[in-house]
Amino acid sequence: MNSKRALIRSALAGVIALGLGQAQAQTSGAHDGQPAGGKEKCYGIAKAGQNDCGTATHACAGQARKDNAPDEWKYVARGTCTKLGGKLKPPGGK
Amino acid sequence: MTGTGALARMQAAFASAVTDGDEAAVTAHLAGDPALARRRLAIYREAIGANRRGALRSAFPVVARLVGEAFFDEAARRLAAVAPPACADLNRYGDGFPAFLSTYPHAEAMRWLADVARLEWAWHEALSAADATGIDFAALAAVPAEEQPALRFSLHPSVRLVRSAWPVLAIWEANQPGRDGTPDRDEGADDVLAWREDGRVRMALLAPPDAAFVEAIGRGTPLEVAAGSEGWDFAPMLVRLAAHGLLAGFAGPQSAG
Repeated sequence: MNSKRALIRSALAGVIALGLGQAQAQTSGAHDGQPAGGKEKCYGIAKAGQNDCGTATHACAGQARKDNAPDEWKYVARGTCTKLGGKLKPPGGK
Repeated sequence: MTGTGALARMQAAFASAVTDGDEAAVTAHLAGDPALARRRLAIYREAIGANRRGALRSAFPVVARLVGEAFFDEAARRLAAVAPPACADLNRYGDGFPAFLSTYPHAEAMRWLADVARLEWAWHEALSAADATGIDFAALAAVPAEEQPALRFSLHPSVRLVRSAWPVLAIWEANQPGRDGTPDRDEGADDVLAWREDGRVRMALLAPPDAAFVEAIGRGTPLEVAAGSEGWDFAPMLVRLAAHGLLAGFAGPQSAG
């Protein structure tokens, strides 16, 4: 389909222009680290403690604990999901 | 050979004792007071459980916050029983947690919970995914026009797409540090793109056709097919992927397969 091909051609031209423009900006030192078209809402968060290999939980921590059978209260969610409550709408529900 | 066989059996018995709690096979090998030996085994067992819980909590901080400590720890204990770590690197442990939560009877009232877990796992995988050098734009520019429709792109290894029937990104945002857990939206079917850029994981909400396009591109679908139906322009999404460095490479029609 010709219109689709034209669309593809112009889309690729956009990608190439952007890519070559970025490369030029980088070599001229003008690149500020902000991607073009980076105005959208997005989130960049580095996770803390990701390299923790478990040393915080020393083996001796196990000494005080027992293998208890699960109690009913361990099945009851008590975190911030209580704030969500029944507010979330099921899919398709209005 | 019998020596190594005996050692392997004893190690298997020890592993079984500390992970499954099956102590019968290993107690014969333990010196000293059996009661004391069992208490010592319990220390290993608890330490391993705590490390697994810790790894899971580190990969799924939002789920942990959503359900609270007791619920999370019990779910983690059950996951370890049905799907123990397959790799010594605990950073890779937890890929089965979303599926586990989707069928966990005690999470039934929170039907969105498994999708929140999927989003967190996407985030987690994006963080440690391989790097990519990025697409060769000059080579792309050299592709003849008649071959352009058959181009198949590959995405940066960190790219993950989570498509949910629930407002998972709003829930995720609301449970970041400093937030009280109340989402800005209580409805929505969030299609979330996650990727790593400049060493940080980023997430953005996509419109459904954009998500379908990224999904198709990620499967190696030729551009013409991925471009989808009339009445929707895929170009902005393709340019957006390129702008964030998420196009890793491309293959022409001649290099099919």
